[in-house]
Amino acid sequence: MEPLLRVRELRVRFATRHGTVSAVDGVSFDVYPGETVAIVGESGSGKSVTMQAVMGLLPRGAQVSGSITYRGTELVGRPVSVTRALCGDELAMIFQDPLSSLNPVFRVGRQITEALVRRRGMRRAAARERAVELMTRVGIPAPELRVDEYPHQFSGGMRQRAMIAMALAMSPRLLIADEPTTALDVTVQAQIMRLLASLRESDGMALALITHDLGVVADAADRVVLMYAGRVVETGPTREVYEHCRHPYTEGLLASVPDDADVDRLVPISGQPPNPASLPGGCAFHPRCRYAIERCRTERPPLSVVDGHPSACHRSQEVGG
Amino acid sequence: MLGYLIRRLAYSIFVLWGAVTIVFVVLRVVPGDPALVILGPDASPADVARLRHGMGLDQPLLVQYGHYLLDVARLHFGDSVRLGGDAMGQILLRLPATAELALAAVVFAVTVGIGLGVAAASRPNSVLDRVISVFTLVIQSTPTFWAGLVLLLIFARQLRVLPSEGAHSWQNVILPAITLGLGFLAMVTRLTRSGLLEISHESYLNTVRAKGLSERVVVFPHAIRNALIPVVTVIGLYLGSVLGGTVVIETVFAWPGAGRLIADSIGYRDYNVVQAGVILIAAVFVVVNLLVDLLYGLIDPRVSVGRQER
Repeated sequence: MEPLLRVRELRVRFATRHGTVSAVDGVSFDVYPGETVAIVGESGSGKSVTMQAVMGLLPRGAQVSGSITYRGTELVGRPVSVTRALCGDELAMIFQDPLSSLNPVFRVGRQITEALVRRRGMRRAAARERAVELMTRVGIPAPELRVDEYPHQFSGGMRQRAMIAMALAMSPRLLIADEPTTALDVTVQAQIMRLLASLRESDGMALALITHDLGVVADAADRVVLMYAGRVVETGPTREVYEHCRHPYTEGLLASVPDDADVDRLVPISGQPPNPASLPGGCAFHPRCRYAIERCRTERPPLSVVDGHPSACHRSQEVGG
Repeated sequence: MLGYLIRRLAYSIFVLWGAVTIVFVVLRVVPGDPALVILGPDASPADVARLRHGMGLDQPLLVQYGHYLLDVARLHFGDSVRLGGDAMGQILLRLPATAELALAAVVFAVTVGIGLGVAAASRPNSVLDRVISVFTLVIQSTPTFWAGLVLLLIFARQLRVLPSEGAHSWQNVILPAITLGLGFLAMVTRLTRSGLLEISHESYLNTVRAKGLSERVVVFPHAIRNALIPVVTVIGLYLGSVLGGTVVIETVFAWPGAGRLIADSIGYRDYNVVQAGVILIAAVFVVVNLLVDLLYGLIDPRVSVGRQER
């Protein structure tokens, strides 16, 4: 089967006052039709920048190289209008903070169906009906009333549901969700994740889930891509990575997932995420790694398959179990 | 809502009282005797004294002020000593011409200002942005009467493409409206530019892009509607200077409006007309600002004037 989205050796650099900063450095992964891929990492790991590159949302001045193909169409090095034409009915995206992602001065219903009106020439009255339908689908109560309300009249969870309704309007094949639950209450988080899972089931769309929370990933994702300092450090089927992780960073993340059975076992990863402007030499994770040896300081480990799935660690055989 | 309106009304009356009082004081402080102006330099002192008595000018200032306040409260503004007839009537007769000029100036300033602001913000720190920034700085620091004279010189005198004075055709409004609107244009340009740049990183603009809509839709209406919120506030405030500016501009371009009548009446010491004119301008200013406040809720739904947030 052909992947929907194929990312190869993607590099994104930003020119800053302190020189060029590499935010994404040689990232490769695929998303196949109907599957859920989780892209996991701390803030600054490059996970969001990767997906912004896919959606053509990077700020002006970002240098992108490598390859992003969507159903065979190369997007890197092409005008942003090529990507724009795919956005909406092929690719859709929802963002971390649902309040700032909705325009405060337009009615929610109008924003949900704006693409249908502007790109497919749907009439306003029909669009309003469609908005009510979509809002019903994502579980917004009293949609006939709320369709005419403004974003500030919605709660956080309802705003994210409205964002999801907006993304569904054009029936995309791939939905990119950038930390869709981070700004929400824990109970609402679970509802939104359940909604995304059920929509994926019913519509058969693929989901690329960007998150820093491995706890969210376990139930939702078919495969995970773990990123650290702009690079993929480990990737594979979710269950396999959980049960036999091969990278110390993954191990650390798994240990820091709250487990209701044993709260005392919560182990944070020591140290701070690295500054992308001055990455450590060798393996970028070595200053925080309890497995680190001299070789890790000088030689960057390539992504290579050890026991089933790829990881980038000199000592991957000794990590995990 | 009702309580808010009542508070605003009380405040408006206070503002009007201030305008009424300032124009009264200023007119009396300026040298020049209306009776003398009316009768001419050859009049006998006895005639002047008689006219002064007839006009109530021989009474103490405070008594004059008291009479004046009472008259204004009864909407009685006295007669024009120069033109005859009701002073406010004379002003109202010329108000449509002034309104036409002011409206043309505001439309010019807002449309061109938004256009320039969008152009400047679309490429911040580019050559175009810098040129626009210098342009707005220059016109903001140019006195309007001078700008008017320069425009007259270029377009009416040298190029002979536009008429220099009067109000005979639609072309007559162009030069005075541009002159009157220049300062406002600069302000709208700067506010639009800074407003757009301030929201240019807002996530909701990326939402529009993620829907596959073009950069044009990102700017109009998504960004501009948010960036214009401060501009709307300023339109209300700036209308005061636009109306005040008509006094100078109408004189420069011989535009037959209320502003020119006020300017002429100052020369003739026609107190009643000047007072009526200034009070009317102040009243228009107050009403427009009230309207802008009430209309604020339309452009920004998060603002609900005088209502409790739910």
